[in-house]
Amino acid sequence: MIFIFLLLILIPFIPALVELAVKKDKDPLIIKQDYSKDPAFFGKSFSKILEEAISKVDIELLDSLKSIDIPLSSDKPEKLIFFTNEVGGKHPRSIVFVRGQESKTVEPLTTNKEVIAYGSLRIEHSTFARSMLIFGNLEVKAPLEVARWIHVEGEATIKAPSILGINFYSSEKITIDASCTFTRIYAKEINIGWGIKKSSFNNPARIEGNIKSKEAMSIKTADRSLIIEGNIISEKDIIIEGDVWVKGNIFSHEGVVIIKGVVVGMEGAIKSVVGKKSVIMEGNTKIYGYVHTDGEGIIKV
Amino acid sequence: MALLIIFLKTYIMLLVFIITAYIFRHYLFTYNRAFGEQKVSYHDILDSEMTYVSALIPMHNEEKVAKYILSALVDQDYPKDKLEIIPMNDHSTDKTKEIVEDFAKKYPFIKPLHRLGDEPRGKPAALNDALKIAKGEIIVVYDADYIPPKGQLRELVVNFSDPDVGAVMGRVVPINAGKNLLTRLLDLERAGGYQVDQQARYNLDLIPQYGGTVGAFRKSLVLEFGGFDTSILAEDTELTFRLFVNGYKVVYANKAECYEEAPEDWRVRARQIRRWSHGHNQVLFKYLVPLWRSNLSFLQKLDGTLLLFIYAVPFLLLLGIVDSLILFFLGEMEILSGFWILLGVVAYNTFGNFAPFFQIGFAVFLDGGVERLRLLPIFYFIFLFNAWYTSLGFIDAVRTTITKKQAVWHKTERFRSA
Repeated sequence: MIFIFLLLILIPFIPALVELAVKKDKDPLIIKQDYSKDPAFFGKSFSKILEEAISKVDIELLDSLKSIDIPLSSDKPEKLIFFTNEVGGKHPRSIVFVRGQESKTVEPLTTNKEVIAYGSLRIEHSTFARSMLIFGNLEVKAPLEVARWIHVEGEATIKAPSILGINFYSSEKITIDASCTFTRIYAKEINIGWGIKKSSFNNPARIEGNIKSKEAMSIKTADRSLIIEGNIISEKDIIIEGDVWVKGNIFSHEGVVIIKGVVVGMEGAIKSVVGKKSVIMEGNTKIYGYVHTDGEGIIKV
Repeated sequence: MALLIIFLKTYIMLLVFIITAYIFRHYLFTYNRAFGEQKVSYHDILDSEMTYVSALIPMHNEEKVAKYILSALVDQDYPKDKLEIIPMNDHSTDKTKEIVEDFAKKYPFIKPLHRLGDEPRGKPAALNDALKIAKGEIIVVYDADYIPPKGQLRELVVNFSDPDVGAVMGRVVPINAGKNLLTRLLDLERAGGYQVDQQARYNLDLIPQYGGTVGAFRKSLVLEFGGFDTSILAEDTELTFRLFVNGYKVVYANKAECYEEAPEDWRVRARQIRRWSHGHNQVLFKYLVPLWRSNLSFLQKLDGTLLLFIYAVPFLLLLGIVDSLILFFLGEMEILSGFWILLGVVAYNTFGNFAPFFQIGFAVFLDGGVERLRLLPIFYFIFLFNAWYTSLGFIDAVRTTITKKQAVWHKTERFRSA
């Protein structure tokens, strides 16, 4: 009886004692010690992997090849298909590499892998890609759908309705003149719509410091423009419309809407517009920096 | 005698009520973390115009760990022209001073503060001295055994974009989790405490706690409050309640994870938890009334009260055991009778007792741990261990509060190889 009693008492502890002896799950939770928030993270990491893989191939041989299998990760090798100045077609399992300095699509382009352009790329036909790494400028004149990220080293111009993935980065300027969806956009200057009024902040009203609210807030201008020197923070929705220049960050735990003439940040600095559930931007808005949402990002032009 | 028995029975009933409140709290937090809307900190804000920051590191005989924390802070991606690091060498008798000076020679933004002679010892006193020379409006504090990742200063400081934020707290992860049974159990405890408890309190707009390390606060506010109270051993808990009572809030930044070194020796752990309990209960005695007089919401006051009493409950439980023994020998154990009471007792014993274990289990699940979940039954023993030393800490707090005697700061011993 005593044995059975002890056994019953011990039963819950047996798996614990096994784990203590075997130590299968003893490592600490992994914290990436080199983690640093970087909006160019995806493009940079892919670029690094690509560079390492290509460095193992004879460069003269590479120039003459139409395709090559290279080990991009520890899994099976990936197929790279090379194009020079004109690109298109369906390549569902291949990475598309465009070698020309000034390239363009000549027919619809589809790949479930990455599109890499060594120079500038003009998209004139509908295009679908997992991700895009463009070392020059990107000009989108036909619908573009990207599942993951877009990294542009030059300027990016979007003139056709597009799905811009989870991270759209340009090291220079992004101009969007079509209705799009997005999750994160980063550039030194982001223009939504073409017609930003350059001198609309004459004789403005000013609000010094930060604006904080637990409720939804709406800021609209009528006759006179407004400059807000600090951050705008709210637990609920933030709607800003008209000639309003916010020099700080905009953050909402819900949604952010910025419409018609709103400017966020200033040249030479990076500021953010963060709406945890949604960010909606309409024509004639300009952001110096970063736009982020974990929910719906919508651009209406 | 009759009065005594009524008193003892009332105490048992009160205790049942208190325990039920904590059980409900644990389940609510776990449920919220599992199914509720998760509130994130302000870490998604990218801002090139960061404010000037002073990073303070309290150090007393930290030769085993000093170089790691200093190197980690030197490697931060925070703009160096907006950063100063102040290692606070507090009466060290080992090589801490030499290590700190070596770093200061290489990096001009490291500005050591050496506290020697008759200056009062302990973290609160050292922090007060450091605040006098710190140039930053935002003060970040790391204990010497911590190793922050490269981007963590930015991740903490950006939370002060919200003018209502008085302090921010990151998440602590033991780097030596797999060392021995104690560190493995402490790893589980930390997971439950941060991944579920702190995050749920932040989600529910209750009282997330500033923990005194991997955290930051506004210098102007602390100076406005008159600095840290050097008689209180838990300057972090005190600051939390000062901030909330004065209308500010604490942000919990779950993504700001940082390695610490958990105690590897049971005696060291005993001293640590006894000191925490001592300090926390001092804060209970000082802030319970101001908390209920503040403009906080009822739920915040309730959560604040439960948080304040958390290190007093084990002592109250021990009294409850003594109480029930007395009642047993007096033959007065029948307090309430009836089928519904029996049902309650069975429900409590099969479900209620496990509330903290559910919390820890869910935290480990969120972290992707699998095999370590099997250690949960053993956690019961550390629960008993903690209860005993926490009770001693409660008695310490009562004694120092009554006698007004200065509490002595017992430093936690380090185990890392230098």
